[in-house]
Amino acid sequence: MKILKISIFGLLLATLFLINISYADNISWNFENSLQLWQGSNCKIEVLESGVKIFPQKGISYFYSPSLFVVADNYPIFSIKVKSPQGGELFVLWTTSYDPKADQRKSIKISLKASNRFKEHIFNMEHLNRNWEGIINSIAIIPYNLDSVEVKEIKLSEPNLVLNFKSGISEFFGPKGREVTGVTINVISASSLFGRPIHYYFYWFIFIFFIFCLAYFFYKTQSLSETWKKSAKSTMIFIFCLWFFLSLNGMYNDISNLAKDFSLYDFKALEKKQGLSTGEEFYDYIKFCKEKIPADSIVILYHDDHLGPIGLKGRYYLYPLKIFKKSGPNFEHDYMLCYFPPDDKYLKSPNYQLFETLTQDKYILKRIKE
Amino acid sequence: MIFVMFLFAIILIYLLGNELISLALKGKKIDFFEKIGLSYGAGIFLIGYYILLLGIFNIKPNFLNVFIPLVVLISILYIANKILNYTVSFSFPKRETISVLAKVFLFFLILKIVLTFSLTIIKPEQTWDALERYGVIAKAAYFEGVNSGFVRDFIERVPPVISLAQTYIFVIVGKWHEILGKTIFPLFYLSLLFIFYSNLRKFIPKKLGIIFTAFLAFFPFLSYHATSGYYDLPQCFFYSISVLYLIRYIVSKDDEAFNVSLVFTIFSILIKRWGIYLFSLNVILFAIAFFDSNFIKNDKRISWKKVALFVIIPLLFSLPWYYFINRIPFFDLPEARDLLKTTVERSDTTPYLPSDSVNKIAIAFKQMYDRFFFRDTWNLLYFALIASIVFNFKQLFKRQYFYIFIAILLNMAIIYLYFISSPQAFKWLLDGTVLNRVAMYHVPLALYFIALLFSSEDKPGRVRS
Repeated sequence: MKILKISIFGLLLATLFLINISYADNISWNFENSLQLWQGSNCKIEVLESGVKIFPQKGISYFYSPSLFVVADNYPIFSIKVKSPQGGELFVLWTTSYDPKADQRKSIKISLKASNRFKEHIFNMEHLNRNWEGIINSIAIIPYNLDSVEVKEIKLSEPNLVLNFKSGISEFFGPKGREVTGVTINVISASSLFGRPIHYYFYWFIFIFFIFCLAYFFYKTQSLSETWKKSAKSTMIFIFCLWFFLSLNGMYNDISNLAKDFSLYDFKALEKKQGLSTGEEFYDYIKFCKEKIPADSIVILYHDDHLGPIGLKGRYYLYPLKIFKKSGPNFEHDYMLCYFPPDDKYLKSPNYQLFETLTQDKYILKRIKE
Repeated sequence: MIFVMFLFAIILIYLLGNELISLALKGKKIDFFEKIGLSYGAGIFLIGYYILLLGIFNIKPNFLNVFIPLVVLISILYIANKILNYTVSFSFPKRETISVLAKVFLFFLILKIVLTFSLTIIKPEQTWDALERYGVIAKAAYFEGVNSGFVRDFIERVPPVISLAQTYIFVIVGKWHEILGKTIFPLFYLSLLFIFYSNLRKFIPKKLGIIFTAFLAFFPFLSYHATSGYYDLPQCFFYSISVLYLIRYIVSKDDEAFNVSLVFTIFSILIKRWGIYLFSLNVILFAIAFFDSNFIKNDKRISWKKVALFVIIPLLFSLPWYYFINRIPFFDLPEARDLLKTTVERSDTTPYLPSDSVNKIAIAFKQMYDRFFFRDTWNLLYFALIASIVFNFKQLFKRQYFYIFIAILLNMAIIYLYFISSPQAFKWLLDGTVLNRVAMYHVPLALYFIALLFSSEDKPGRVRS
């Protein structure tokens, strides 16, 4: 009878434990045959049986939620079931009651591998971005470098053991610690796990190992100097083992970067590679300018800020057209290269005349010298 | 054909470097890998420097005015070495069986090198600075020479020797080919590994030599720079080699090591603007050794003439760049001005620093600590460095460890001072722009220090020359 009672009690405890590690309250949006009040901005959307297919347009395309009132602390686990045949990146942005503006500070990046099957990506937002706080008012996803992406489900959940473990794995293999941050900044972050750099755990392991060594060698040798010497040696070896693990982690990045580069560049001609590396549309415009403008002319590039510092790459590829280092609209120049210009003030200016046009947003102005 | 010419260009670099290094080493037999690594560094710098000199005389580089003088120079050096009996001076590594562990590391080391080369040659230049600051110099110097207004506009703030070495590749292959041009960077990486390994092998067993060389190769930031086309890896290469050989000279009074150190110090000064700071660190290190040898230990191992040579010759060699920028070395660099200004301001306000400066000092320290130990990918280098110091504290003051330790400390100090010296530099520290790049210069030294201490086993001084 006693054994039966203990067994029932044990079974109950195990059930509770299983429920605790596997169950989590959640808010979810299932996009099978339904938009679930989500909307798109600057993108084409198709509602399919399997989910919502988003086709981004030029510029920034959003797919965003209806107004929400979600306490960030209660639902830190974000999961998204998504597929993209060509692979690319997805940014998840959110607005909060503290900060109602969507911007890069409140965002995470998800790398999508090319696949025709849905894959669930699970992240603990609190671990990835400390700005997941307060009341979440809306969520948006931005496909980047993708022709299309299909979303099956988006879910916000409470944490539990299983979800935390899964999000830890996603975090470790996520973009942080895998990519160079900023093209010119050149920071390669350490991989993180559960919101902390992986080194943090390693230092604890080393510390515990060292304490263990001290105890063990003192028990074995009964000599302080021997204990110190042997513990030191063993600890250094342990450090090198962990270091080797980190090195393999770094090499995994190299292999995946090479695979990515190879799928993009493989054995293409140098000029094609230059186009792919610079952005083909911009590279075509550069070629157009070099064809039309006499070599050795001094030029400046006028473009919308959201395109980033493309003038820097432009300077390299435009040569022998010359963009000097200290250039700007007031700098002495012969031509102004307008590539998606933010306005048409120079086009209307009496100091310039239209020289050549590639498309409506890509043209060349010639400066009229007094 | 273009690839044949490219190979030819690389072989010429090695031939030139080999002759110069033979001269510097006075024909002393050295390890094969060491010779290859040193020859590459010396050859590529001299060629870039030569094209800079062409610029002074307003000559545009072309095949004839590059190739012929190069062959003449190689011949002169070859004859000089023959006359002085300094030729053919390397030995192949002895065949030794290595443990399974060393084989595993060797496998991953070779894999890493192959990956680094593949990542470089598969794509064109991608990083902003490598294109718009450095690549543009290489390209424009190829088409119109160094002395054009356009090129001068760019070399005003960066010594262009490495870009001009890329120009040399274009001149020899007869075409502007950016992928071939940037292949010089993984060759710096490979050469650094060769020299690092050879230096380690003078003190530690083969197995550990392979393991620590693999650790150097594995640093993601270092190998990334081998693919990126920035000047930081060459700066790391020239500086760390200059220090390794300087310390070899200080410890073992090996005159040939002094010559190599002098040559690489000359080169190091003209890679980036930071080179002038690194040069001053070398001078301080040498001055400490001089003081120690002449006034503390009183063994008169280091003469003042050597110290004077070590100061004057690198400065003289750096003059062509200053000709282009029309400035006085060091004192006219904006950061140096800020540094001096800050020092003066501080001495005015001593002992009370303004509260924002106190914050800045603390924040800078915290940032460096965070980035070195946690946030950025130097693996466990800095932790292992601290652990090595703690575990081997008694050994630290022995000559062969002490000077490397001082070199690392000086590097840390200059980085720290630089970042608190001006608001702009402080901003760069916070956003992480420059810290890892300037830290990279002392990373081989830190790893070398760890390797030596780990292998010391209370038997210091096993210096095999």
